[in-house]
Amino acid sequence: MSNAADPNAALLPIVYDYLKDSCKDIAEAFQKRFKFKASQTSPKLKSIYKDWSGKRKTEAMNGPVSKKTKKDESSDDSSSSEDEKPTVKKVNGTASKTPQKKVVPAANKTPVKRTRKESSSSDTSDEEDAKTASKPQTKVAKVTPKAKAKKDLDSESDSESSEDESTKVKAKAKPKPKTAAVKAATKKAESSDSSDSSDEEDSKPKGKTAVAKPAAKATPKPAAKKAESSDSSDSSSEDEKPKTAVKAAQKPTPKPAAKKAESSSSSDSSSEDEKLTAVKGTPKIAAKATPKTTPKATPKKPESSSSDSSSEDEAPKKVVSTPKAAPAKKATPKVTPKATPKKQESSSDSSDSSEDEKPAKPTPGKASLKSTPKIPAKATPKKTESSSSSDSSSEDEKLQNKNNNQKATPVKPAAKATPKATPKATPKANAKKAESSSDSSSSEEEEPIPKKAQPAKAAAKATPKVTPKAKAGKDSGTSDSDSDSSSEDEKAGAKKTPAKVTPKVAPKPAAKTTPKATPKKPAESSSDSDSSSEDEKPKPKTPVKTPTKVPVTPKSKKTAKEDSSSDSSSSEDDSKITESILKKTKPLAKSTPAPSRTQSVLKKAAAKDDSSSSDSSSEDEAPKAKTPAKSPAAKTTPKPTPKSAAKKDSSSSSSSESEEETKSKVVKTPTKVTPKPAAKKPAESSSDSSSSESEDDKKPSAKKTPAAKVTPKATPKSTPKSAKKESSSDDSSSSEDEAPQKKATPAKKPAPKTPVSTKNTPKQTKKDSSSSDSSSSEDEAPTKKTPNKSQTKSPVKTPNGVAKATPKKDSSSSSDSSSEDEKKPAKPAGKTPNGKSPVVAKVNGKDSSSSDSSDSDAEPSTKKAKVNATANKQNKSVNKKDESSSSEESSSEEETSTPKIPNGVMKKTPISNGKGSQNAPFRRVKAEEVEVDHRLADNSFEAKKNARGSWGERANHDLKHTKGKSFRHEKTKKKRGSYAGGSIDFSVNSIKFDD
Amino acid sequence: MAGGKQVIIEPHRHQGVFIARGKEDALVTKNMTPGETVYGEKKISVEENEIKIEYRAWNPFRSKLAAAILGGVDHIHIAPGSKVLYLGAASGTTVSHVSDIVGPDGLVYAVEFSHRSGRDLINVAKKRPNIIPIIEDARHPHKYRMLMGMVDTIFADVAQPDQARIVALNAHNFLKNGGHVVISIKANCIDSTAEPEAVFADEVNKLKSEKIKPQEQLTLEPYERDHAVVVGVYRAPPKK
Repeated sequence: MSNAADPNAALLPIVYDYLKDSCKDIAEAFQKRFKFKASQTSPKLKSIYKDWSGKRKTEAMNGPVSKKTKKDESSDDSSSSEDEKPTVKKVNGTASKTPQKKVVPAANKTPVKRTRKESSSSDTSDEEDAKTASKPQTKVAKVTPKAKAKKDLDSESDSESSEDESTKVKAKAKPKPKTAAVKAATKKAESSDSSDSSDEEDSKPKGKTAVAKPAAKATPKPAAKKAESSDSSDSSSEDEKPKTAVKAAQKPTPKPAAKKAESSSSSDSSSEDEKLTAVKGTPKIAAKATPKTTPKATPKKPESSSSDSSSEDEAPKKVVSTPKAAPAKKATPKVTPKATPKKQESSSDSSDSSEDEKPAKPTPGKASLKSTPKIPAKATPKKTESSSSSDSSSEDEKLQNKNNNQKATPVKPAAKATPKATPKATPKANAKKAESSSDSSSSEEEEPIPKKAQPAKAAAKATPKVTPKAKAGKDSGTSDSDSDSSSEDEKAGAKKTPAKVTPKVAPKPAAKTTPKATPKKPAESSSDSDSSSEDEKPKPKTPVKTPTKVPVTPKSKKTAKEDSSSDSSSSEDDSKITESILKKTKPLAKSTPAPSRTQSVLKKAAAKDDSSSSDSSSEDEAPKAKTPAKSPAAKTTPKPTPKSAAKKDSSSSSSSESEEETKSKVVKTPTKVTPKPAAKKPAESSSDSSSSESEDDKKPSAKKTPAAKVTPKATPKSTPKSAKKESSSDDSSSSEDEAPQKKATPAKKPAPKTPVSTKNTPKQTKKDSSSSDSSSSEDEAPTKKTPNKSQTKSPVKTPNGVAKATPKKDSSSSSDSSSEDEKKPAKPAGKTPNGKSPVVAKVNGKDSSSSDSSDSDAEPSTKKAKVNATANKQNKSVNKKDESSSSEESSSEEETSTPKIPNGVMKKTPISNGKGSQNAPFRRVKAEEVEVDHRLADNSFEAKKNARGSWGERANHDLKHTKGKSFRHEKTKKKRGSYAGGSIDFSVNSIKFDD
Repeated sequence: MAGGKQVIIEPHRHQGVFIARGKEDALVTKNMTPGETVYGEKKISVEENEIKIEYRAWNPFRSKLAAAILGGVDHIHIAPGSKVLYLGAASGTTVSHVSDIVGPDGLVYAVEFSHRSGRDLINVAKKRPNIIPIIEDARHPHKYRMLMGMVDTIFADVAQPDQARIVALNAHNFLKNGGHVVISIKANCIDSTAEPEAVFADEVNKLKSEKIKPQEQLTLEPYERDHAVVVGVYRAPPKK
């Protein structure tokens, strides 16, 4: 630079002056770097350019075009041809292989440019920067700017887009590109070699840009690359490669390419820029790089014709060069440029680009030689070239940051195969968790297992334009899984990184499988994956849940989820519940999901006959840590949302899980306690208060009056189980389910929510609620034999009911319950009201007693004991359940609920529950309210009489397996008139209405 | 199908509808405007007693009415000479076949709200004097009441969530007592989340409340997905 600096001394003020006008930031940086004094006397660059352009016009009028073409060709040839490249390199820096030498020649040339234009100054600045910084570092720095420059080259718009991303860089780049064009012309006049050298430099940086990130991460690699490049044609090839990429991009219609390039490149470049900035911290470098690239772009465009050949030649070279670049970073940058060229370029160009890409893939081997961590990244690119590479790079980076050795290895497997990913996933998950960021890249990085899908996502996200073509199919599935996994990872990281890690592995495969199963909607897939993840977390539960969900989903996903959750809760309630469930399932029989549910329930029951299956799962989770359960819940929540009322469901499910956990914790030991009656009484008392509250909400003041009204209420409730049970049981069930799910936190909210929930619940699913209620009541009862305990339990119940009604509320309700539990020991009376009210609503017989007790509790604590006793007696007399075991009660409740189910509420109920009172989905047709004639129950062709052998049978054969778009496609084929159905008969096949 | 000798035309159970028996059977209607096709359908010309009669193939995959006929509906209540109010005429493909069925003595009031497809409908009507194109919203029958007379049958293929109401409105305005309604119901247009069977039942209930008594229902499978045709009678005379 010293040599160049002297001649530049005069130029610096001029450039600075110009920059000052165009971009102060850059101007300051420029001045800072070169440390010169701004001279007022220096001539204005504009004036210089005017003079120069005026002269040039006169001179160029005759042969500028020819010169340009010649220059372009020569430059192209030099760049394209390997022979020329070495020569160029020799000229530039044969003496020293290091890029610096090359830079120097560029600098020499640049001075001339500087005089003419600012762009040259930018080049010199870059060179100077490179010199100042360590060589490898400088290269890296240059590379990143070059990458931006490449984008810029594609088109000014591209450069602008990139600039937008990095405002500083952009500001500088914008002015520069224009100058670059001018420079290109000037360069032509000067010498093709100089342009080549500059191009090479630019190209090198470009190639490096891709690698820039890796370089930043691992400086040694870039240095090695630089050395290699300088050593032989490889370096030139590298330089050329970047150029070719740029050329390819340019060759095709620049505008469209620019758009694509912008999107893809912009994302990449932005990420790169960001990373670079983060690493280097100096945006200036990027800005400098951009100017250089712009000049290159201009020459490339003119060369486009020749560029094809050159591109081909370059392609192999590029491949070589790519390996040199850091694997991960290189891969990403390479991918983007390639992708852009493909799109932009014509068919021939595309072929070239494809070739380029292919070679790039092989290159990984070289990369591997350089650094193992990088290699994995390259390997991944093969699978999913651009996206995978980007992912790998991100992963590599992250891994490097966290754990260089471990991370590196995981990255490879993840990218390659999900199974491998699982082991890796854990380390990644940890790292990811820590790092977990909203960014897609982070998500990708976070989840190794989903990486297959993730790469697609990453590609889609980072370079949506590039990947979309090849990846499109994969992206959907992968993206879903990725998102899910990422969410899971994040959640897990937040809650329990270690515990979650193990579960994650299992969930990942599930997630993958699920996406396949439901490719229709990304949301669904995501939801599925979420569910899978949830399932995975609670391993015992997962199998059951998944089947249940699947069957349920066809009818209504929400309902299924709710049902599953409710089922689980019911199963939790007692082994007896299984019987009730069976009964329930039978009514459901019409709906396919029913069998699956029953199975799931059976499984659960079998697994945890004594204790509820859900309890067992909750217990499992609980021992591990409460957080895991919560995390699954959180995960679950996302699933429901996508489907429809998924949120509610998920929340409910989550709440149920949390509740379960809470229950398990509190009640674990006393799974089935005879003391239930006693416990129930106290609990009821507490619950009664809550129930009274809930009742107040639901049923105006009548029930509210505690003592006096309590007894009457209890009796009516017990006697008219059907009526009360439905509403109350529904409420209770909902509350119970929710309560178990949501632990402490949810409990807080329950009180306000309870009214709403109760209202909602009755409509939604009585059975579920009832079952859940029984279970919750049972659980609570066993847990707390003593009045205090029962009280605590009762509050839980109440929250459950609330939770069921409105999942969101559930959380609050559960929290309330927990709070109640906590408070209850200390202050039964105060607590009881909240908890009691729900209980009363929930359990008919029990509820009544509980309500009574609660009423008594509510009034004065002293009365509670007496009232409880009375209530207990009443309850027992009224309800067999009260007698001894909570299981009995639950069973009776379940039974009561089961009859309700047959009505057809089950299916409907889940839906209603999901969106509940708050966000019930709009439905014009409420299937449960419509009576369908059994003859009209099946609208299918097969159900029609005389369908066999009719004219439409063949069409049905073709169309019955299709759905949506494919159906339309098949139908369109039949519209063309080629369909032959055989003979047409005159039979009447319609279904007549009787009257 | 061009070879008249190989094809035998026989009348369908429904008046005005024919079946071309050849290598492959086809549902056809007698072309009211010989030599011209409406939407590129196949023409089948048969010479009987040196009188050339042209028929047009009627593809059930393109027409729900054809699908209903092929599916085995008992009555379409569209016959030569009848006056039909056709709601949801679209481009007039099915309308042209209805026009063939009712013949020169009948009338087809074809209501279509979309101007784009209405253009095609008008072009069809230009060559078929028994088609009266009405480019209006079927929800507002009063807007075209001046163009209308009483009709014998309303055929509705509007695929709107409130199609029962639309049909009822038009029935109240233009359908004679004892006239019939033929409605094609697309379940997804009414509630895509509910079971199609429930949607159909719900629509039937709505018709009942509008004094349209359902008589028969038929699925349009496999020609349409989740479709059904319901035939009803409006203000049926009390049974004795």
